[in-house]
Amino acid sequence: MAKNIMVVDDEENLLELVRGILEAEGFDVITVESGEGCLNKLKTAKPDLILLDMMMPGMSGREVCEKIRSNPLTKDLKIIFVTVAKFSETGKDALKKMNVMDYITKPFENADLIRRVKKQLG
Amino acid sequence: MNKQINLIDEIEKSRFLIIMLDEDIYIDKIAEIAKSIGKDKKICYLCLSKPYTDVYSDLKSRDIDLDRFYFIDALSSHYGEKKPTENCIFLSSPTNLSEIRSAISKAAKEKRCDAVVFDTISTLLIYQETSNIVRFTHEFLSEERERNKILYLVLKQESISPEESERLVKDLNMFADKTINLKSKKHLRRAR
Repeated sequence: MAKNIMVVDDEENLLELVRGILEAEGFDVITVESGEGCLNKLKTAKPDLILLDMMMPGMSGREVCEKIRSNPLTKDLKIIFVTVAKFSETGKDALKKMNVMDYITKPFENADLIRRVKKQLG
Repeated sequence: MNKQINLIDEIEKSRFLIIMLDEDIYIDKIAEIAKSIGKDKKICYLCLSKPYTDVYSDLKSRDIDLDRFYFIDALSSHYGEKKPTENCIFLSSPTNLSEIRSAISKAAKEKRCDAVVFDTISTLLIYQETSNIVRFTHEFLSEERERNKILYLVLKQESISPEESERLVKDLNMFADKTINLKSKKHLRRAR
């Protein structure tokens, strides 16, 4: 059975680009355009991995992640952050505390995205 | 606890520093920041909290060498049209984030500024949603890091709600080398 990935980003073009890349690799992809949308969708969907943009209007990726971790039903979901700026050492420590597996910096190479996703989904 | 923070040390070793200040120590600490940035560095100073003329007088009265400063004033034009001077450009409004970003980029390139002092990020929260400011700073930071610039982001604590302040700092702290919180003696006495 294909693994399911939820991609959360407010940029529609990026959502479609990532959907294309991941579907071509055989993954099922759900796309969501906001942090609030992600949390709503998680009431009915249980993805194997979430690709979560850090900077979105409304809730930031960090806030969405904290909500996911504080909900017993979603707290163990695997999350990869997608970000424009590189995390500092302080940020990397914060990622560990939030149990975020990895992060991808925009713009990214398709091969790098696939490699990181596959690594998390084993 | 406040005594343990050495602002000069932090300024010297950080490339992206968030500095949270109490209102009553704001001017002195701004002067300390300005004085502590390496003498070989040209500084782009973004005036969002006070107009350029006020900032200039404040710093001058504290013996800061202003020859290495280039100012971007986003406030004064609000009170009438201003013509750029040799060391200052006036923007149309503090609400126009694209204009601010483009002015800083231009200063970095054309005026060869090495460091940017953002005084203050909290002012922007008067006009914009926290998430917009976080996003703006995040993209701006990424751009300035590419250019190897140093960024000092000042936040006046009393001017925004503690919730907004916490939200802003938590998001930006992920990308900062350090966040330092400088409390006034009055505030520390109150806390005891």
